[in-house]
Amino acid sequence: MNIENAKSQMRKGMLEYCVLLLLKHHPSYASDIIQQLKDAELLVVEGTLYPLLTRLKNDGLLRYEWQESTQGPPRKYYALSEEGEQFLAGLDGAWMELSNTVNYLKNIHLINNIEAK
Amino acid sequence: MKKNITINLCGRLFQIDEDAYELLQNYIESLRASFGKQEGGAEIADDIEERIAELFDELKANGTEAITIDHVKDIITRIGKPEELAGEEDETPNGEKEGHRYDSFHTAAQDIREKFRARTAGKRLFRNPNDKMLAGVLSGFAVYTGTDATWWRIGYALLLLGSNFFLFPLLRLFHLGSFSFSFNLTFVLLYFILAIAMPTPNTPKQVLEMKGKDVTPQNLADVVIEDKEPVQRRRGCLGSVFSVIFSILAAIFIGFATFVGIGLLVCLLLIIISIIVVFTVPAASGLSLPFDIGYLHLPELISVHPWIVITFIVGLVLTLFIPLYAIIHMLLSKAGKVQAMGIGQRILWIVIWLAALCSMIPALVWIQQQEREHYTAEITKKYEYQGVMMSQEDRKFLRRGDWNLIKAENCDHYSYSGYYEGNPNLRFLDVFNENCEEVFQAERREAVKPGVFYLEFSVRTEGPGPCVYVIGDSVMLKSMPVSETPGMGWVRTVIENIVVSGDSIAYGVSSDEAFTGQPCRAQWFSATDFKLTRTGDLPKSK
Repeated sequence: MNIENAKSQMRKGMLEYCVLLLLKHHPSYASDIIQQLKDAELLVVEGTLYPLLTRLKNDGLLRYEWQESTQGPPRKYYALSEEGEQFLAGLDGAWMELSNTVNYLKNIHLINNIEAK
Repeated sequence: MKKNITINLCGRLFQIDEDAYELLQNYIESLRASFGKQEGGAEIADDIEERIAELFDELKANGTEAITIDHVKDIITRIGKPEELAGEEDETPNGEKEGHRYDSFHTAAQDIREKFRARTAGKRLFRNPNDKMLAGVLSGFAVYTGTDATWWRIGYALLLLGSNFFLFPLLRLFHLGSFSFSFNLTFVLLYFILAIAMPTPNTPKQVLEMKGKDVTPQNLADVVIEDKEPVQRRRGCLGSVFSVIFSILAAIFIGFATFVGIGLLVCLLLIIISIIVVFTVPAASGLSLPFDIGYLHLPELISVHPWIVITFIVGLVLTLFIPLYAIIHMLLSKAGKVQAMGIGQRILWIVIWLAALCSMIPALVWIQQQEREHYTAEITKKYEYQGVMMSQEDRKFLRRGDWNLIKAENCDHYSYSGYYEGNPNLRFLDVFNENCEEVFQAERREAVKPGVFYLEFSVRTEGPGPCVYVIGDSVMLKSMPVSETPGMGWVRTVIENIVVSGDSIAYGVSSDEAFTGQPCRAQWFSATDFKLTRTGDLPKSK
């Protein structure tokens, strides 16, 4: 088990949540999402996003509409559906818990130290 | 310098190098194949294609005139290979394998098959152009089975040189030892047949298929790049000598094939013309056809046994057409006009050809058998003519000649054909009895005006006795002169001064002792070419 592999596993788990987060306020088209995820260093190969978007759309969490662009052909703009928003709210809760747990476990020695004193 | 083409990707036009195009094409194809299995796969592939077009647009905007293979490789790394993308919800493959128990021959065989399949998995059999001594046939097998070509070569050499030593005793074991043929030659021929039958990989995709590697963009790129570098062929001194010999043989082979092809074409045309003639022209059996199938009486047979006749005709045409097609196809593919046949296609044609041959030959044998039986029945069948049984030919002859049988006893036949007046097919009166016991008398009556006549005729006889006679006012007899040369010996004879005061005259031949007054001592006699001529009116009555 090397570090890269572990990182990629973590990213994979996070990707779905992050995509939904990105789309919460701004409907975007695939290349926008790619750019933002890349900036956040969450995406290694771009192609991974497309199957994910299609799956989320088929699950009813996302919807898209065609919009004319200033250059080139019309683009698919993805946005959250209502179901998606509920789902995201659920994930938010889960993330908070997870994040708290991780932070708690990371800092547990500090707490122990304080209590020991 | 590279060939450059324009492609239309999602409605936008791009200039792209040919090798880059090939790589891109394969990439998109493999994406489609890999996503095709899952729900919405086509949509995903479409989206990715859209993305590629967008990236190309960016390149264009940055001043790139033509997209090169490096650009495509960059994009592939950026977007990812199909196996990286499809594995989003990968399940770990079952690592555990069930232990095999050889409890029956069947499972053992299956096991061996599986092992072989694992070695040849995903591979296609090609000749290997990169490691060859002659045509790369053995090397191709080596790549296919994942073994070392050297072993194949050693094995083949042993088979080639030693086969007559150890295969003949083997044959003798099965009581087939009397076969006289050379195994050595067979193996040489086998090599050449395989060299023709096995294709060479022409595209990078086929190179990968030969090696059994997945057709992935990376692998394709490797092959494309490898291909550009000068190919280093492992070929020794012996190999180059062989390759010269091989190319000479190949040239001879092409010439020979062209020759055979023309021959086949001519044969096929003649056969088709003959078949059409046989079925459209009534009584074509008598015509001399370019391809002699008249004697088979196909039109008569087809009404009785349609399927056998159709099998024969279709089989015959296919037997000739398939090699012709194969030769034309081969010559065209050598000239680069068409793509060479795949191995499956080749095997299919060979199977069809064998099927055609194997149905055509028994059908032909059967038809010939029918014909022979029919013919034998025909010549032994007896027909009645004026109360006498005889062959159809004899009856036809006597009826046409208007011969009346006065007596016909102990005769073997009544007409015959032989060399007369330079015509070997002309029939004439002819009777035969081995013991000279034939009693035969036949005559013909002609209506005439009263007058004086003479009768000319040609006769021959093996012994004394038979006569020619004329009945006018009186009966006139003339013995046939005995032939000095047996077989031929026709003599032209005349009976003159025949006085006829009635309105008809009868003439004929007789070997009846009661009529001629002479015992018959001839095994056979013949007569023909009777010609009656009037010389004048009746002499003035006294």
